[in-house]
Amino acid sequence: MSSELQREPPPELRARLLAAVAERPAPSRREQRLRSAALAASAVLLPLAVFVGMGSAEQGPRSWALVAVTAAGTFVLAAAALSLALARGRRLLGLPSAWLVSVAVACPAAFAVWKLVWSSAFGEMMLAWPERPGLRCFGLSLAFGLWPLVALALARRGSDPVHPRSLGAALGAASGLWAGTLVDLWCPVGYPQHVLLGHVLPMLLLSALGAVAGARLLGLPR
Amino acid sequence: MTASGAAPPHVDELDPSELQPVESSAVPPDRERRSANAAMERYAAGDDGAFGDLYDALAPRLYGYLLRQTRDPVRAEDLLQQTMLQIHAMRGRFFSGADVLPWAFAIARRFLINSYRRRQREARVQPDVSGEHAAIPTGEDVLNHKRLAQTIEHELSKLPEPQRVAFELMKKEGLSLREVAEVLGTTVTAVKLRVHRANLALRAAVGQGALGDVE
Repeated sequence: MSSELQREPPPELRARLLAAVAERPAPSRREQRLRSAALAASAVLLPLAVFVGMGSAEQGPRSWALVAVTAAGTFVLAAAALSLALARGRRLLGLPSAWLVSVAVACPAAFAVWKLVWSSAFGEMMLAWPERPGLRCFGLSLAFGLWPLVALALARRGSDPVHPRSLGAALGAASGLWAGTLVDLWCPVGYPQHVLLGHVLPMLLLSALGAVAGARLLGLPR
Repeated sequence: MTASGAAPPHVDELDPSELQPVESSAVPPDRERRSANAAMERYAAGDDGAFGDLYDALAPRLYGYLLRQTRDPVRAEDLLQQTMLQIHAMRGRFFSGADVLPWAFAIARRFLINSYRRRQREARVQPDVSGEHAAIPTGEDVLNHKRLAQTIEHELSKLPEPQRVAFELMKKEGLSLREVAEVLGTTVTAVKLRVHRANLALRAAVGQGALGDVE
């Protein structure tokens, strides 16, 4: 058997595939974009609606300048994480795994630095606040971040044959940072233990959850 | 457990010329690549009739790759079917200007890995040196060629998985460094390093093999 002959797939496979494809139509690019856009919009709007429903931003002892700068920085990080996670350029397969893992780890770390540096510029913000250790922020961050993660994973479902776990982790970080933006608008506490427990830890947990969900949702069917 | 680690390619499909940087027949001509991209573009835009053209452009290359990895026409056919159906299911993800080939290879490779994982016990491949291959025509050139091919094949199978896969995708499938990096989810630098190391190992082996023949 020559290798040229071996290289040709059986002729009947073509007919079989054409029949299978005709039987089960797949969404075109336009339909896919509409679905993805709807899911992405829900990822942004649903937590935002809940946030507005629970009273939206709270100043507390903070200056509005501090509220604005920390929340804006968190939002920029969320947007950056999402852009990097979904960056394509001319490539369908996205960024290398190492980049995605870096996004998942570095973005929450960058948030911690941003939040603590700005809080430290306002001396009283670094004072311990024992009655607010961060548990409420922890729960809120997870709650706000869960749907965006699910929505993004559904929007990209079955699309990553190379590194679904890493992509999931990066999407988890982006979701955590979006949740972190909302929680930061609400939470006036800025001392390190609180920030780490109530704000950074949920982001890392969402990244880990994203990695687990990514393996199941973002990869190819097994 | 890895895909290619479990199933080395056919001995008689390896050609010593494949040790050279591939710019020859293994590389898909631009025209072929363009026609695959154009077919995918039409298909993603909603032209259902373009699937046949897409199949014609992709299937032979994917099948050749899968067959080399599995050494089993039935499994290769099954994996090709899964790959093409997945491309169909994901057609809405393809965007204008993208290159379909690395994407298709990445999907095929993932199904291949999944298949090996599912069938770990069956993945042991018997050495293919009996039957028709035993009836090699005599002649020193043919024998030397076979020995060389076997040496290369043997050394290739001993390479670490990342090096071997990068080498095969580049040298046999004709993908560029960047495309191999995409398929493997790593950086161009990492692929360069892997292919370079694979080249060094294979060149050393070919040298040793030749020396062995002389002795």
